[in-house]
Amino acid sequence: MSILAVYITDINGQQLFEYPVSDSPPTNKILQVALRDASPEDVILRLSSDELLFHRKQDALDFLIPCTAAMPALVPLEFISHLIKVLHDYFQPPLSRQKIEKNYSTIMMLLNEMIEDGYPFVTEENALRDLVPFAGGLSKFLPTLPKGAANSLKSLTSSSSSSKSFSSDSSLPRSNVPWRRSNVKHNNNELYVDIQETLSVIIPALSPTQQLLNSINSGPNPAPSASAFYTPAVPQVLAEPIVAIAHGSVLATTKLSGVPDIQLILSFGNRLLEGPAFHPCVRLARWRERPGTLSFIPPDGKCCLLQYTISGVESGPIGGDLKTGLGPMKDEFEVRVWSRVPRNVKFVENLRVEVVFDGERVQNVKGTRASSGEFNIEKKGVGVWRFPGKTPMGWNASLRGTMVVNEDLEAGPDGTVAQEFPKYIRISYDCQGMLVSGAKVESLRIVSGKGLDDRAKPYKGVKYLTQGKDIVIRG
Amino acid sequence: MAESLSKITAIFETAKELTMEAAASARTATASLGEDGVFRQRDVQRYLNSRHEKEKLVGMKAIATMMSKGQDVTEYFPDVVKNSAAQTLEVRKLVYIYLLRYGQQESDLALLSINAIQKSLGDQNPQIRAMAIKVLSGIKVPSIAPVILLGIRKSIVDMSAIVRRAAAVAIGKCFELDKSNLETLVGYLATLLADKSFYVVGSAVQTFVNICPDRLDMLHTNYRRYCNMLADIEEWGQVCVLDMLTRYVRVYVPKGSMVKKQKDEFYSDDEESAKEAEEQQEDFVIDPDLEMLLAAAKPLLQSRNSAVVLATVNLFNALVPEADLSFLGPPLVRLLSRPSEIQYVVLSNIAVLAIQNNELFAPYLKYFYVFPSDTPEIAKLKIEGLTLSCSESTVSEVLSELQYYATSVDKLLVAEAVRAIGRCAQISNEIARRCLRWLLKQIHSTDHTLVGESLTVIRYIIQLSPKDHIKTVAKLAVALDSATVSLARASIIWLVGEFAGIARYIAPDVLRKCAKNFADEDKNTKLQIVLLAAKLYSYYIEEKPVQEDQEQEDQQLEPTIRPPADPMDLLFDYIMLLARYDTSYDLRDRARLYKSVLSSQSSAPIAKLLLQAPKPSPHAPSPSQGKEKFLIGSSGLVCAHISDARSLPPWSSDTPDASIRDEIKSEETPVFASLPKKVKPKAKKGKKEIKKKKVVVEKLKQVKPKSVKKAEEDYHTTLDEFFGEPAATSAPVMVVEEEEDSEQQEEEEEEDSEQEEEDSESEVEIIVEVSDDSEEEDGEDDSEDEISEEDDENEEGGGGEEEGSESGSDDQGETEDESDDAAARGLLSGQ
Repeated sequence: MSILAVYITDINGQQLFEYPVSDSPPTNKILQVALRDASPEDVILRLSSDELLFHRKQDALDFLIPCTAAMPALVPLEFISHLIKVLHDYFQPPLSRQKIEKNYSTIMMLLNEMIEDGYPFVTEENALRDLVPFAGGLSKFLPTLPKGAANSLKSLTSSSSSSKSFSSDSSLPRSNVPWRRSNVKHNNNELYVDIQETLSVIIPALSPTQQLLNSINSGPNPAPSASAFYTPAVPQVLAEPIVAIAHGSVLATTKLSGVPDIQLILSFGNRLLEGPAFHPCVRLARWRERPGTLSFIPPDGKCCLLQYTISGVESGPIGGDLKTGLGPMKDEFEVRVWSRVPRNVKFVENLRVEVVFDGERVQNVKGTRASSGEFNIEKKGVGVWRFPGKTPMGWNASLRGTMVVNEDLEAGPDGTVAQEFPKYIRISYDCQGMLVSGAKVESLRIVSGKGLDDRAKPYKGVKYLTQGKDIVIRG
Repeated sequence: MAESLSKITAIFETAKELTMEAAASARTATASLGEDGVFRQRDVQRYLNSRHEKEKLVGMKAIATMMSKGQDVTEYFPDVVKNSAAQTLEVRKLVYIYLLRYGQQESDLALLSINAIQKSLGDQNPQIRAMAIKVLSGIKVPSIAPVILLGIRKSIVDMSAIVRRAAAVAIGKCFELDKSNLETLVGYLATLLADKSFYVVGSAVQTFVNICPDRLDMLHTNYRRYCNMLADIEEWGQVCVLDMLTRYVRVYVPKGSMVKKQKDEFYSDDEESAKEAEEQQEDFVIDPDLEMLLAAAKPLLQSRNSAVVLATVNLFNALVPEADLSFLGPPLVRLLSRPSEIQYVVLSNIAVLAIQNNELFAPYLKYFYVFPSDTPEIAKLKIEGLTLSCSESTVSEVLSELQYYATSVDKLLVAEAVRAIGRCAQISNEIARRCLRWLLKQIHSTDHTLVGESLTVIRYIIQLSPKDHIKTVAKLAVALDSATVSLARASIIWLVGEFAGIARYIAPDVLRKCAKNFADEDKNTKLQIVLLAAKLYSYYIEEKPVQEDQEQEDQQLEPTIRPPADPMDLLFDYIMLLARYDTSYDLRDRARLYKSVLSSQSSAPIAKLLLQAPKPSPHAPSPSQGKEKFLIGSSGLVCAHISDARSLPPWSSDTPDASIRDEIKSEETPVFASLPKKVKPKAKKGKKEIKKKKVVVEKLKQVKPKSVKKAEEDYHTTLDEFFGEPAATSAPVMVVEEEEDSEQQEEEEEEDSEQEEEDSESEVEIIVEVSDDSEEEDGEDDSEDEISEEDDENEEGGGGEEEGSESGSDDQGETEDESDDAAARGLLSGQ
């Protein structure tokens, strides 16, 4: 069971970096041939009966790791994740061809520490910072100690010096915090906690009864005048989402000197976290005693303390619906989006609505009229309706249009080609200041800080972000 | 105040100057090298041979760049090797990486560096010691295997966990290099497996898996310790340890069993166990050691590393499949938020788990709903997960979701969803009827994929119980009138023909209708029509009285006035006639075949065989069916057709007593008493050194705080075991203390002179070392008995004490025998 090599290529498969681990690993050429033959979705390719290729694309780069077949499937994939994290830590995201080419020696040294005997070895960013000089920093010189003092025996014979040499020795793994690099010093002590949730929702089409209720509530259908915009009120009856899942992560950015001990208390209301996952620094016993309590000595810099999943959350600050068969010819569709009345939120950003239809059958979309924003067909079967910048809350917009069906298509049994409508709409946005799960930080304090100046009042900040990734509304 | 301020400013000034200078030199250095992406050999060599560390670094970086680009840089070998004792850590690391990559190709030159590396083994910085053992074991030059062994021996008892961890890895690499040392290496590994530091254990187990995975007996005394430290081991180590403990339990721990008792000591949460007690009278009783492992492994489901999560799931699945494993669901579905590659692997594993236990993921159906952003592979696996996890109570929800996918635009999704509906139909007759109703409606769709797949599934459902579905065949026949897709028409005709034996009155009418439009049909449909005609005719002649048959034959032979022929005869003849003049060869051939087979009574049995053969009921297993033989988390499960030999040992029925897992508290039972004698250290110097180390340890014991002390005590124990000699355990601390006092004074001078010597004659030393060891080995008899060895040791012990005052407690391990050294030198000069 071993990793055979690490290759980094650009998106076209041109090799940028190679790090062979075994004596004669499969070359990038062989891997590229295997990749070409495989379908683009295959994540694990079979090179031979006992060799596999794992790969993942990130930031316009492709990371390729050929392995022997006995390797558990997730080890190389997690390793790539770690490698990307480390490279981001060293060279800042996003990674690029130039960044790789400029830093060959650093990447080589990193991999030399990260893989030992064909298996992941040291992969913590903080531990690696101690081992491999950080790009841009001056190179570390070997400590030239006066002769005699270099003798470890001597230092070990006296109690005081031995204990000192242990604590000050930067390369010794401190048994309690192997993930924190040693001798951290910051001029400005800061501590930030970001909670991000990614929201995925599926809202089914309204049932006929619900549609009927809506039409009653909003009065008779507006007069079929093509010129007038139908400005919608938020419909009374909405289909309940059949799926509403939030994947959350609690990120800490610590810039604190010494070895701080932090306690972060979160509340999730009464919601149930499905299978939370923790950074190794989090004391699990405390969490078990009182769920929501994260007690930890953080690694320096960024880290993800907690990942969680909650199902059955709210459907988010943006709503939408899709109606079909409107207008005098019953051939129009209408997409509406609206923002709900917020609690602490003033706006959402990067709002984008994809209108998805059958690209084979639909030739064009004609007579589109949008109350705001811009609608364009961006690729076959997908029209994108964009709202650049900030979108205020308590707002709504609508889009109407007709799908033009490709006339070459075979007609149905009655000789006519059925009218096409969008299949579904897909909404995405970023919304700062709120979390759909209702999670929040109850308290954040630095319990103790060895090496942290008592007078120093670290700046503490908390940020919430909800990303609507996949809000699917079916038509 | 002002003074101090000016002081500070002055310091800043100098600091600034220094930085500027450094930056400037770095700039000029890099600017002149490889500016245009091309490195001229002479330039690079000039930098490598420079006196300045910075220039060396520039040279090494150029080498690194060329290596990363995949260029061959072996030509620089002599220039690079010279820098193996460079002062800058960065340069040294780059040189080491170079050596690791090319050492094998230029083994003679690589030997030049061995001495410098070996010296680093005694560096006071543990990081450098670790690096040294890593490089030493990584240079693939078989002749240095004895040197590596020596280095490993020194490193496994190092004070620093970093070095011991590096030694654990080195053992694996040394084994790769020279497999003949296995027994010695296993002995060393045993020491590391018993290491107190969780930092070391992870890598030790990884090496164990690579070199001697079958020696599970080495784990007896470590088993409980590993359970206790499992949570602290680093992530990658956890994967190995979990896997190995799973194997261990299978072989050495009794299997859990169901016992009718009220005993509530399972690892599950309170509510869960309460529920369990309600549901079942009998309880699942497991061995305390197994229980310990399960309790220790459960928190690892909360690991952020998905490989650890899957290894933990595998442990539970392999060891207690009978227990309530519902807690495995949430960690797995949580992983569905990870990148699509990881999702794919996790979903493949979920499918296999769901095949074994369909209730496991029943509460998490929502996580398997397909989003437009899912890749086709993931969508496919999600649909499988949905189908496998649905039960009678959730099936309507799942069906309506599948029906949505089946009518979507994506062809792959459509096909997959319709097949999934077919699998759902197996749950009950009621559901099968519901599925059938929906599928029959789809025949009129214009989507070819949907129609084709629907008919396949309809056929499947009918074939499950043909007698109940005569009406369905009738419905299909009606649907034929309006079905436009030729594929659908062909399938329907085939189905009708297939059930002609059961639904007698439907088929002839269908054939009649088809005969009308024969010319307009698609080729495939025509083929099916001809086949249908043949099938019907074969049933027909089978039932016809024999006489009539003969009569008919007679008539055919002598065409006289024919009695009004049976419509079946006419229809068959008509179709055959049409086929005979068709443009397709295939169709004409088949028509001829059927006609001749069906024309004579003698070939009737053949015709029956040909046309009425009962078709096997199509098997529609879940796509992941058959993958259960793979371990959860293994690559074999995800990627078919690879030789993943990993499988679990079977449960052993005859397990030894649990007391074998008692941890060793004293010297009573040495860790590797079971190992062959050979394991005992051979080389003289090594032994001496370790003895000295032990003394250090003993000294430490007196001064260290309690917690450390305890650890050291245990550490001490293992050392004693290592020697297994009474002389060592009762080692005269006093004497050694004396030694040390005198040593320390002499050391400084010693080292000085020694270092100079060594630097100037690096080549010599290697040869000395190698020859030294080999001589010893030659001299040793394999069947050497205890007594002689002890004698040996006694001698050494005495010698060591004397020598101690001479060579000092050299922490670099270069306790060269002066005379030997000199002899070798003489030998060399003679050459």
